[in-house]
Amino acid sequence: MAVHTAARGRAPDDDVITATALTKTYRQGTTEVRALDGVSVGIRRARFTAVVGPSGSGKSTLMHCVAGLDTVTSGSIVLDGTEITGLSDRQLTRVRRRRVGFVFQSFNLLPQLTAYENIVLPVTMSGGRPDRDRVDHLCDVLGIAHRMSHRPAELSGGQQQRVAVARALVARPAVVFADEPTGNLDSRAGAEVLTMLRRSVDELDQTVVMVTHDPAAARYADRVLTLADGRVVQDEDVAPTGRAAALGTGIGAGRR
Amino acid sequence: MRNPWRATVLGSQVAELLRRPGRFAATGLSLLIAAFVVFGTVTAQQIITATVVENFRGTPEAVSLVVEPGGGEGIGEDRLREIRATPGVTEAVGRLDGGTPLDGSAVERYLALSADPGTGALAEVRLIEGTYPSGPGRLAVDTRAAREYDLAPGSPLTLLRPAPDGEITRRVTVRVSGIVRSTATNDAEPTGYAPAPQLGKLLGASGYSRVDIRTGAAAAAPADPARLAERIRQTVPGARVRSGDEVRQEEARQAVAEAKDTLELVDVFLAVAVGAAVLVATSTFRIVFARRVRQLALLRAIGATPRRLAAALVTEGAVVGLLAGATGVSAAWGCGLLVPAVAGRFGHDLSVPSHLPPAEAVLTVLGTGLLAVLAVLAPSLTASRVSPLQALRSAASGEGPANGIGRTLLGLLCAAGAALLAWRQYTALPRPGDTDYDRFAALTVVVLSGGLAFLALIALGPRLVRPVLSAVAVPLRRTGAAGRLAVAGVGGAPGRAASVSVVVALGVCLVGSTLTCLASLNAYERYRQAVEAPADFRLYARDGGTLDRSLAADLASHPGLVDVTAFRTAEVVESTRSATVSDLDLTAVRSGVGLTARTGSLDRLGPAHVVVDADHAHRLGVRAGDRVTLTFEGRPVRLTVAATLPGAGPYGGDFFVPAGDLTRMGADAAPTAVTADASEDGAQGRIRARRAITETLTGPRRGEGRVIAEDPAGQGGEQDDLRTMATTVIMVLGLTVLVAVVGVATTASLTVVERTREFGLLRALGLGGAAVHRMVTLECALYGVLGGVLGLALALPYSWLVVRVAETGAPFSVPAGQLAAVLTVLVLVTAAAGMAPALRASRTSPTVAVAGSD
Repeated sequence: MAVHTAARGRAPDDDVITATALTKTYRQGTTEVRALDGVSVGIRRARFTAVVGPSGSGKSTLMHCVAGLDTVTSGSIVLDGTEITGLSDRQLTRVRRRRVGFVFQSFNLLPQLTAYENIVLPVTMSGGRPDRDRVDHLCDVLGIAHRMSHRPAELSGGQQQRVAVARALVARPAVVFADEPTGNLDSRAGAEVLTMLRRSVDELDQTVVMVTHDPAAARYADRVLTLADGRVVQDEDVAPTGRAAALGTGIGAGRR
Repeated sequence: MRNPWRATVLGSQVAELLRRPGRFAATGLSLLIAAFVVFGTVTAQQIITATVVENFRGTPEAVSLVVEPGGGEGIGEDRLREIRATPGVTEAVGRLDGGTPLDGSAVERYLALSADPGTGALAEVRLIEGTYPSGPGRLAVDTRAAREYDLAPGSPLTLLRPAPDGEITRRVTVRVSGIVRSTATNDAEPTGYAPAPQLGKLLGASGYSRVDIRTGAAAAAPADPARLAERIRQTVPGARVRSGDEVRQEEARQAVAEAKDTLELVDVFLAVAVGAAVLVATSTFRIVFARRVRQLALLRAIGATPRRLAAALVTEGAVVGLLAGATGVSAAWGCGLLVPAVAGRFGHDLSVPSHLPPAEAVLTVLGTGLLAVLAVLAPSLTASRVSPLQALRSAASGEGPANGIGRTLLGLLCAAGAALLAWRQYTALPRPGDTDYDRFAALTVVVLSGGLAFLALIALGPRLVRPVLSAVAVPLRRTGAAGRLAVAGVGGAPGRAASVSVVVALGVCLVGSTLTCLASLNAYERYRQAVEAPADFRLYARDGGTLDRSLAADLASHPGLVDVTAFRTAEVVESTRSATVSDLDLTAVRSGVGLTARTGSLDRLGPAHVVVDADHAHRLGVRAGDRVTLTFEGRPVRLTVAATLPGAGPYGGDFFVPAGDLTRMGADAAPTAVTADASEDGAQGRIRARRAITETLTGPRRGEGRVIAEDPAGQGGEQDDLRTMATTVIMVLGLTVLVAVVGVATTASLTVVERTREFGLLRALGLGGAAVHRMVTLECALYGVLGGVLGLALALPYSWLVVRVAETGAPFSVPAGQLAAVLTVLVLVTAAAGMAPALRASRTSPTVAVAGSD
């Protein structure tokens, strides 16, 4: 497993995302809504960052912007060394394809494809060949290896979300963004998925940014950013109790 | 693990297609119909060709060589004898065609004449009754002549032959020896037959226009056809010698070409149906892609470029098109094989097409694929531009702001162009009497304008839905919750409603305007008949003088004749030109129902009043109520215009006045013409009427041959052709409506799936299943209503323009009953199209509304 650690040969402490003075406004009818109001934040590599806050705080908007899904009104975002504000749609698409992985709240698997096909989609879509060892390894770790030829409809919610996690990880992205990944899961399945994300950080040096409104989910992170009214109101490093929880479940032996 | 070809943008979309074959049915159905009708036409052509060739009876099979003279000279009797004597020739007959007027009736009759041996392998007639003429003074007639001229074996027949010096007519009386049926012409016209030498003498012809030769198959040494032909060429210098097969093929080709003329017209309208199919396919592709928006957004989020997404969707469209094309072609061919068997049960003898035309089949399939690509292009471009953020939204919004300002501008531009062209055409409409008006160019402009108007409708459709809806749906809103919800449902997705209704509108517009134009042209035809042939017979003096005053009464005393009318015409001078004034009673003419007035009323024709034809009314600039001055034999007469006609007047009259006025003006009291109708319809009635006229006119008292009787009937065929053509056109246009209905059905079934949550919510709120069913059915009916209203709104003004351009004098008559029927049937059919989806919607469980998404 150590083979897969430190995939990118950089110091684990540098920032993979640097966002500076982000503002995002959009019109809703005649009123102007300011979703982000001067947010500056750095996301450290190989860390698990949770973004929390009440509804309408701007946490989802922040994630959409730094992930290259949405554009900002002003400010600068450097993602894995690339300034992504001002990029064309085509360039943004390339950034997303090569450097970003997503885990969505509602799984978002293509129903017509098998689990395996869904996982390798980001690789094959860009014309590459999936790294069989990595896929097998991920599936082993995620506990879905025996489900590879099943369609999403034949999987449980937790299994579907673990397939989605595998899909996000398969292309070794610089950052995995998870948007309320446990929102549609029961607490047990949610805990499993969070453990998987935690392990990807610990064992694969993966960077994970997770948006959630669930304080229990946020406890799996190393750092919790709290947003309210479009501003960062709290930024604290926390002891990743999730790691203990992960150990407690006994699913993964990790590298310990 | 297998190669994950499906885990690509294209692969995932193809996998989606394979997983949901129902989607294929939705997007492919309209294309399938298009391919079916196109290849159905190809098959129909094959069937017609095969049938025509099969049933074609021209030159008899036994004819092995056909000789036609080279120059203007015919082939003489001695040459024919030489041909007969040529070794290898078993039989040779001369052919000769001509015709002659018949005597024995005051009404003109004509008999075509053909030479035929009557018996043997080369005969083209079959004897039915009596004997075939063998000597001079005998003639066999076909069944048509027997029926129309009331002939039977033994009847005398007097032919009017020109004397050798030209002017003087010679009467030649022959006797009918028998009745025959022609195997070559199907007795299309009254024809007499006799063997070649006798007929040649009768017609005074010096030679034959053709010689048919049979070479004996039984002959010991079958002569080499080429050498025989060469020998005959030497016998008859300059002659064209062809083999019988060659001539038969040529004749068959001509017969097929005639039959195919009708199909060419069908092709034009077929193109419209295909266009409608593309519109429907575009609309269904748009809906199908909109339903997949989340999936597409996900692909975008994980790195698919819009271009690859679009390429995948276009490929999917092409696959759908090719499959639909192949299915349509197979189905059409299968039906083509079945048609002759089915038609055979109903007594129609059709031939089975021999082989599948491979080039046409492949072209149809490829063409359908191309159409699909055309249809899918715009929807796939729109769908591929989906924002990746859509993958995160909890529910895909029903309709984006598709109705951009650019689209509105384009629509307004098209509408302005259409209006401009129409206005130009309106201001330059032909006046009565314009002879050099370029009708073709004018019709082209009208069609162009119509096309632009339709484009405008497509572009502005979403903006038109709500106003039209609010106008037509007032009664529906009062029918309860289902009605209100249906109106809201259609109005809530104006883009979708427009894209479906526009296709319905296209069909309704075409069918409606065709019906209207036909009604107008029929009315015009009735008017024209009222003008040109108001009565079955017209009698007038050969020298243009007056007729015997008692003639009308004598004719009327015959039971075979009715509606005997006498009238006078006189020459008058209107300013400097001469014109014809007549006292024909316009309201008493039998076909007077077809006679209409452009201004004023025909009933107002009282003393000192006049009815003016269109040409003179236009030249004098008068309408009803104005005054005109006519000069009769130097005396001016002032008259008030009671009415003006939309076209020419009956029997070439320019001005029509009451009889009393004409007498006061000083005209002779004796009539110049008498008209009469046969008291019974049909051939028997006409034969009796002719006999009555002949009896009345014959005899020294009337002055032999001074009065001519005209029989203008026999133009009925044209009307029949028009009707057949119209029926064909409306059937093909009906296909457009069918495609539109398919569009309504697929749209309904797709939106119903999409709106499951909405229906669940309505059910949860307490709306009954039946009410949901009613609501969806009503929505579909509303698509029909919208399309019908928009279609008729376009059809009426344009058919008015077409009628005005095509026939200046034609009245514009709107077949309100027919149009209302079309609209009613359309609404019922679109409602029926929504039945199955409605059933599905009504079974939605209320729990769907509260359950999670996917």
